Amino acid sequence: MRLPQLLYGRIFMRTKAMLTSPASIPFLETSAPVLKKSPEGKRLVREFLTRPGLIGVKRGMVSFYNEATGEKYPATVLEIDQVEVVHNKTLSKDGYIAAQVGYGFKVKNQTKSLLGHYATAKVSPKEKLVEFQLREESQLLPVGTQLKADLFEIGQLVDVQGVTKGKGFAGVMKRWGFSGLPASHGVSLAHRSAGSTGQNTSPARVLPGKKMAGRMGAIHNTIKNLEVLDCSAENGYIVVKGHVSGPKGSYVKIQDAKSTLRP
Amino acid sequence: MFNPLRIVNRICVKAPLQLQRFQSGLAPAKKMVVYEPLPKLRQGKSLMLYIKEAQYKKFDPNGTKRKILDKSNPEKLRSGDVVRIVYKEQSPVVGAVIAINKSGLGTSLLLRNMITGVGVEFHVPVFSPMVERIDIVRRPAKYKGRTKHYYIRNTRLDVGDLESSIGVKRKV
Repeated sequence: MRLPQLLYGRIFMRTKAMLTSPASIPFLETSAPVLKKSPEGKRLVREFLTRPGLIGVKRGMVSFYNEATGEKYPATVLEIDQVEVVHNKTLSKDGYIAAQVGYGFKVKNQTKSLLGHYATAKVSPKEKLVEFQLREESQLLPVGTQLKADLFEIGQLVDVQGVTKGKGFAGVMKRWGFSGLPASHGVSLAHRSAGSTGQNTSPARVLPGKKMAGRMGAIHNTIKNLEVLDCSAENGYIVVKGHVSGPKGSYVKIQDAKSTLRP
Repeated sequence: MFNPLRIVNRICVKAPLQLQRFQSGLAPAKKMVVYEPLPKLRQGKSLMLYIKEAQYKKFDPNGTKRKILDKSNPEKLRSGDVVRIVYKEQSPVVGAVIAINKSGLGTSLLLRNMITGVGVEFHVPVFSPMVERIDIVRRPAKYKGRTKHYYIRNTRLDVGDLESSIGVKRKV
């Protein structure tokens, strides 16, 4: 964390015991302090990427064999097609540094303002836009740069962000793994119920955060540290080891694993 | 109104295309510039198809493994057959197929054998680069009425010591 050492505007310097008037005390001018909760202070402590990542589309899963050892892994195939840098956001104008990256090609139902946005960048209209926040403005790539699947090397770890499959309104057994009520011993019509939700007259209310039935799934989820098994810039795909959130055809963000960026 | 789909003038890749308002009687709208997309990958072929074909080409170049799993092949591998798995680096093994778990390149066989009176089962990934080939050693006189033979375990229907019955000497 790079907070300045001097948290007050002025510092009093006394070299030896002396009797001096307050007016003659020397002062040292320092820069304004950076507050922890200010946007700049938050930016200093937050983890950022060092380069933008990719947008992919989950296409399905395959078995992947390690040719040397013969081991078999479940692997997810992600398609990388027409990924280009559309816009760069800067600290002075937007308050944060980010590369806006687009995926695919889509002209139908584009608004006029978005078409203008793409035309300024001299790229074709995109299906999907996402942002990758970066630490330094020098890490931004020029607008119009095409990002290919060989951005990541085989064997490196990546984080893959997606939206999980929606399960609708789900009960507590499915949503939170509750055991439910017994099948017999007098239980009637409440076999999948949550049971008690609290105590008695004290506290006389249900505590906040109580696990109950409700909407399940369709939330953003990051699967961390997936190994890149195969990638091809020419054919536009990345194969990662293991599973990725979301159904087939859903957009995912692929970026360098944050665990590998830490010193 | 404004219709971005009507591309009036198509020039080479990355050259601006003019989109025009085509309905008559309206004032001419501001002309929007739309850039052409980048060239299609794999000549527009589906990615999963492409990857599966590439994998089969890599792990089954002759097509022999695919052939014994092919439904239309009368000589196909079936549950109840006795097979010998020939590996590239280790010695071959013999077992009776009691289940075939079909899932494309992940297809595996469940083999059962009786070694010194103890039933032994193991999965063999068919398309593993370690498996050189699969030989069908013996076929039953009559196939059973189902494809998963889990019910034969430790019954009078169980497989015997296949290696001694076939006459294969086991390496110690």
